[in-house]
Amino acid sequence: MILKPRLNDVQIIGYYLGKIIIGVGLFMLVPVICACALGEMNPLLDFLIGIGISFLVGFVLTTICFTEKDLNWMQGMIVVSLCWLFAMVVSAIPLYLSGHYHSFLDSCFETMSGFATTGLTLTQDLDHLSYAHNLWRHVIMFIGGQGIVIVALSLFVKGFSGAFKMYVGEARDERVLPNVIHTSRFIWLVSIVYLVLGTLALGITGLLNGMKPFNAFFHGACVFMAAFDTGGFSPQSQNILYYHSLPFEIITIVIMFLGAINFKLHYHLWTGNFRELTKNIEMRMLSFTVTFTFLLVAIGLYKLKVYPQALMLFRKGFYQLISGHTGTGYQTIYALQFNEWGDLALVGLICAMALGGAVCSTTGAIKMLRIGIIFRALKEDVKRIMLPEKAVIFEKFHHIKEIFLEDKQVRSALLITLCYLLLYFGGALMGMLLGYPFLFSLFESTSAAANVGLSCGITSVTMPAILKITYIMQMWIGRLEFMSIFTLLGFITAAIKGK
Amino acid sequence: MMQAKLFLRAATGIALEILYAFAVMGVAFLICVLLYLKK
Repeated sequence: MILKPRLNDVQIIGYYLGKIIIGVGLFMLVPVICACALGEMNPLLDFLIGIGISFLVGFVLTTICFTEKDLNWMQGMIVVSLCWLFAMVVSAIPLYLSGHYHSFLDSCFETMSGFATTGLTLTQDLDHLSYAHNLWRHVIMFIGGQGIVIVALSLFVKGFSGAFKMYVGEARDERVLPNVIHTSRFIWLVSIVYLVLGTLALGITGLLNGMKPFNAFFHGACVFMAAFDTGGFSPQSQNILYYHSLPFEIITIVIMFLGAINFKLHYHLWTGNFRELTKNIEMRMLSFTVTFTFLLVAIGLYKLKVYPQALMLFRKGFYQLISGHTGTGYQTIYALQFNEWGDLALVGLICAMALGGAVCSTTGAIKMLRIGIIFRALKEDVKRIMLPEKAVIFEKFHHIKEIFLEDKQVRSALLITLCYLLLYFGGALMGMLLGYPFLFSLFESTSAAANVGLSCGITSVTMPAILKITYIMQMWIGRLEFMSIFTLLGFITAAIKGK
Repeated sequence: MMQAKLFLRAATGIALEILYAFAVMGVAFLICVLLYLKK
């Protein structure tokens, strides 16, 4: 028997949802300051309207649904899944008002792509978008990379025990520190330290490449935010190709890598546990899968003689590969140039996108810990077949500490992997139904669902609205890793069918 | 003194993370070079 949700559930969900929407509205103050500083009056108005609507919705929800009760697991999961949709809509308002979007759906696509750190874009004439709007796209990506709830937890919430439920709902199943609020603050510390270092490195490179000081550091900050949060938005329509600079590409590769590392691992490395870097199962898997998938890409490109020199192969092949593997989506080639890559290189890149980075990082996709666990389970089963029946067989792996492999870990890793594969192929099926070739449909679908952002040309203003909605759903589901979405579906079913 | 130690540890951690990224890049570049040396 399914129990119908109580009014109390809706009240608690509405209250916390309202708080998070106010939080998103407060973040719009960043582009407001930028617009004031640079004298961009029209963008300023767009953001004031956005803030007004966010505050109105937020205050109405928190007033009507006011409660002092704490969240339970179900409510936490639903708040997370809904807050991403609400945040998408309110954040899209100033972007839509900029006039650079064909429809409100396109601006919603842009904000979901930003929040989910995907990086697929539908902005028209990006090169002439105002600084304030451009900054907002990158701030959205930064907030999404940290996790909208993380932002709320660390900045606007003084502390409540239901915090952990929302934290888990946002696909972060590991706590760096025992207290979830301290964990979110540590995540911010890592991000801000790297924000300073990364912006300086990119800004100085831009200056040396002949950019004006303001532009060099503005681009540096925007590119850093999108690279570290493995997002992929760029201030220019040509993406990273715009800079034509090897040092710029190398620095962004390093930043993408740092973004793909587990925040828990950052904590242990920063506090002196240096051996963790080589012992950790995720880092080992990441090294292996990057090398393996790059071999596929390199052999594929080499056979077709796409790039005439080793350095070109590195700059074009490895850059797209690492961008895909870490889920960033930065490109140093035009989308249509993927046509020249051939099947093997494209399959290598799709595999890399499907795998993703570490858990509790800003990347999407299946993730290294799950792949590592599945490999260990396979090894355990092979051992079981080869050794005598009475032999005691156990398998362990190192992830911060030595962990014995248990069936429930394998089950969970396999279930999530299966869900991701279904999501990738579901989107590909929709692409094929609309007439796109199989490999390109799979490429774009995997890119959306794994929150990567590489595009082979399907994502454009002219693509059918149904495909835009499919990719929005894929980005949302892929970023939240299914559980909170399933809980939301269960809640809706219970509301309709429950007794 | 304690603060300096903590800072040094964090700096070493950051340096190691960056070195790791360069190591993976190095392996990838080696693959590219080896492929083109082969011909």
